[in-house]
Parts: sequence; structure tokens; C-alpha cells
Amino acid sequence: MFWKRFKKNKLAVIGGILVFGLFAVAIFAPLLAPYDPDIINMEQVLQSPGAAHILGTDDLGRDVLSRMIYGTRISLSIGFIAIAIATIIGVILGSISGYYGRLIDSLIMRLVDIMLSVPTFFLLLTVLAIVGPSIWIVMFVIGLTGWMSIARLVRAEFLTLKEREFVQAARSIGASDARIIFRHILPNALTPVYVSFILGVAGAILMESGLSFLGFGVQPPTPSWGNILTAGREYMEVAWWLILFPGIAIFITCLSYYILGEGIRQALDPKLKI
Amino acid sequence: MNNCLLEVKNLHTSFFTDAGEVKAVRGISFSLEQGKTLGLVGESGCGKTVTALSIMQLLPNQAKITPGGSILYKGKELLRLSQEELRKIRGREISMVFQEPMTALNPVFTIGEQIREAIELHGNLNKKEATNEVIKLLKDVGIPEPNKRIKDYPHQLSGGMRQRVLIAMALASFPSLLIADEPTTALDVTVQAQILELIGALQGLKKIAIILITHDLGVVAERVDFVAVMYAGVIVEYASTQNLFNEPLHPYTKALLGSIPKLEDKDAKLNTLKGSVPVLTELPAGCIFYERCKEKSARCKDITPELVEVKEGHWAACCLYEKG
Repeated sequence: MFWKRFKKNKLAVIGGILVFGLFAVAIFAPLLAPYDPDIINMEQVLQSPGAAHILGTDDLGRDVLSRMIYGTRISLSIGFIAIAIATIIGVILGSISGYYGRLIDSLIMRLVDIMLSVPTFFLLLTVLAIVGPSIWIVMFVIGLTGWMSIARLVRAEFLTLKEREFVQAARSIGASDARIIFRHILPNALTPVYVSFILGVAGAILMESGLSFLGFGVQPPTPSWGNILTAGREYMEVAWWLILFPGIAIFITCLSYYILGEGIRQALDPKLKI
Repeated sequence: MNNCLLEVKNLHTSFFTDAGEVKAVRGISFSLEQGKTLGLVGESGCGKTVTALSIMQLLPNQAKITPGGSILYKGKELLRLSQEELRKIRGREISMVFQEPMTALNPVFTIGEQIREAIELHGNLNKKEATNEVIKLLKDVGIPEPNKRIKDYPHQLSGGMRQRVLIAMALASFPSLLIADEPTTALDVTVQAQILELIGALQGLKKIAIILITHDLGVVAERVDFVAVMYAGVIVEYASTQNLFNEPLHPYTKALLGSIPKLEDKDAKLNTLKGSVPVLTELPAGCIFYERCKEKSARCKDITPELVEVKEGHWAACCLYEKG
């Protein structure tokens, strides 16, 4: 049913294939990369794209294609882990908030309001400036500042689902609150979470690229799309390939996540006729 | 009264809404012996379901049971138990079958998983034993090919089948009391009969007491031992089924029985009960049935009749039978 509807949306299928392809690239990076991404070759500095180096080389003679292939790993794992953290926090707080209501709900929702009023990007910059740049800090801060919209979504689902009769039926056979929340209601509330997860990954990748570009994210020599872009910025006038290709990679990745997320949303929405 | 399973005394339940306090149940008392059936009859909104939910203590947040009443189950006061203790009673001692089989099953789990959960919550069977138990239960409630059906999702079953599944779920932990809240309202007539027959058969098999809530007197006539007729939150008449049908005492019961169409005289006009149930936020003084009563007298307007024993085992709350 879901697949039938999803397959009708050609754009979403393309997005899905692209996302799937990115995963394949990340997993099989050592097999796909023509060179070692960290090998410095001073005889091959700033080579334009050609037969030996398809996407050229950078200022230290490293192969751009290989660095980008390895960079896929970093970008994807930051996106995924950060949003996984956000989703777990959001789902738990949203469930509790929606199920119990009243004071607990008010407290959690006001916390959401407070968190939403903090500009994430500047919070990240501040934290990274204090504790020093690290991939893990980036993931955690993105995760800890990204759970609010998911909490709101889950809460809204819970508000309607908790009034449904099957919840009362579960209570009438003696199920505990925790059991009702996580076993009975939550599986019914996950649809919007899937979509928000996928869209969130794109946002996190974009944020990581932005941070790396500013020098606060992934530190060289570890390759990430953001820092390849940064390194290339200085040579922009003589070596356009250094910024063009990572830029295109970020653009395509985010775009494919967005169209995939939108496609899933449409396929899961029973009100929408496809 | 040692074999008394459930004893409800002076139960008041109110909803606190923005429009004021809605007294849904206003001081009802009844008792039920082990293995017997009680029919709770009345029109929509007369407090039948609220009574059931009060016994289970599954009332929504805005509803409160007024202190002073008592619900004794096997001699234990249910109103004083903690949430944890109540949880152990629900399902294992008292369970409930709901009105809407379409929505009372969780759409994302197979029926096998849902019944198994009911078993596992109260027993200590391993997964395989529990699955066997599920198959046995499904066979008991008359579902064909139970070992295939346990892998079905609720949407793959018809309404009657789902109600059977819900009954299996309710019976999973061998409760002593089953509350069936209009179990057949959402089903069509032939299926209704099957489900009622099933409930009757299971009662004989498992020796459970049943409270059958319904607005259909026909359902009550065949299946229950005692009937309590409710009107606007109170019991207006209580008797054995036979007595109630042979000799209804309260004008409301008479009117209800009179409004059942008879097959014999096809040309007769259908008797109806004019008017509607009084609004529960602004109850009139005196008898609540006054407005619609055919046998009213002047003093009905002032006196609120109590439930009195008119004949042995036959109680009614009406000025006609008040002494003095």
C-alpha cells in the first residue's frame, strides 16, 4: 500500500535512489575512492579535472573525488546521529507531554518554547568556541537543540490517540501507563516522525557543512564536504573545482532528502490522492 | 450475602465541565452474585456506561466519583485501592468489552499479539504457551482457523469477528466479572444474536458474572437474570427479568416495554415515549420522570421517590409505591 503510493511519485523515487546511493558511497568508500584521501602529492597540486583526477586535486595534491567520497561518511553520520538523538528526546518528551497532559504537559511545552527561542547555530558556535571543535560535540548540540518540533508532533498525535477506544481497552486489561504509551500509542504516532526524521537529516547535514565552512566543525585533515569547501575558498579563482563539486554534493544531498521526505509524507497521508 | 461478588452502594459520579457539574450517576446501588447476569438498561445518556467505567475506575479526567459511595468487589473496597492495585484487578478480576469493536483494537498490532498481551500481563506463561492459549481462546469465541487468524490485523476482520476478539481479550485472564458495554450495538442484527449467544455460552462455560449494558430490552429479555432500569442517572426499577417483563411497576419501564413494536398487530401505531431525558446540569426538583410520566400526580412534583421494595425482590422508585 505504502509502496504503491510511494512509487507513483517519480520525484520521490529519484530522491530515494539518490539517498540510497549516498549510503552505498559511504559504506563502500574504500572501494570506490581512486586514491587515499589523505595522501599528499606535491607534484600534483591543484590539477584541474582530467583523466587522472576526475574532479581534480586540491592545494596539497589530494584527490578531490576521493576526499568527497570519504566526506560522505562524515556528513551522513553526523546528520543521522544528530537527528537520532533529537528524535529520541523528542519522542519521549512528546509522548509524556501528550499522554499525561496538565502540569507535565505545560512544563514540557514551555521548555520547548524556550528551546525554540534559542538560535541553534549561534549556540553551536558558542559551545564549539568554548570546548573546541569536535564531531561529537557537533552531533550532540544539533541533537539537543533539534528535538522540539518532533516533541510537538508526537504530542499532537498523542492528544488525539489517547482518547481512542483501544487505549481504554488496553487499560481495561490492566496495562500500565508506560506500556500504553510506548507499546500501544507510540507505534500509531510515528508516521509524522519518519518524515520529520528524514527532513531533519538534511538540515543537520547543511548545518554541519556550515560549521565546517566556518572552521568550527570537522577539522582537517578529516575530509567533510564543508571543510573541502573551506579549503577550496582560498583558491577559488584558480581552482573552481574545489568549491563547485562539494557545493553540488551538499546541494544534491539535501535536495534528495527533502524530496524523499516529502514523498514519504504524501504516501503516508491517506487524505492525499495520488 | 457471602456469595456477593460485586456490591455497589450509593455511587455518585459527576463530570466537571465548563457548563457546570454534570451529575451522570446519582446514587445508584445494586449487587451481583457470582455467576449471575445483570442487565443495565436505559436510553442514551442515562449513566449506564459511566456506571461501568466507575466500577473499572477508567473514568476520564474530568469525571469524579463523589466520596461516600462504595464499590465492594469480593469484599474489597475498589474506591480505596491504589492505581497499581487497580491495575492488577483490571483484566484479571474485572474486564470489559467495549461498544465499538471497530476502534477498540489497536490497528498496528495483529490480534494474536493483542490477546497475548492480555494473557502475559497477568500470567507467567512463556511466549509459546501464551500463543497456544491465544489459539484456544480464539477457538472458544468461535473464530474459525484460529492459528491462521492470529496473524491478522484488526482491519482484516469483520465487526462481528473483532467483537469476538475483544471478548477473547477480556476473558484472557479468567476474570470473575465481565462488563459488556453495549457489545452488540455496532453490529447488525444477525451478528448481534450470535455474539449474545456466545456471551451466554461462555458464561456457562467459565462461570463468570456479567453486567450487560444495553438500551435494547429484547437483548435483556433473553440473556440476563436481573434487570436494572436506569433513567437520568438513577435506577428506577430493579427486578428479576421475569418479573420485570411480566409486571413492570415503574411508568418508565411500562412505557419502554410499550414502545416495542409487536409482530402480531401490524396496523397498530407505534407507541413512543414523548419528550427527552432532562438535562443533567439542571435537574428539576421532585421526580425526574415527572415531565414524561403518564401516571403523574400532583405530589410527584415535590417528592423525589426512593427505590423501595414493592414486592419481594422487585424494587421501584415511584410515588405510586411510596408509603404514606
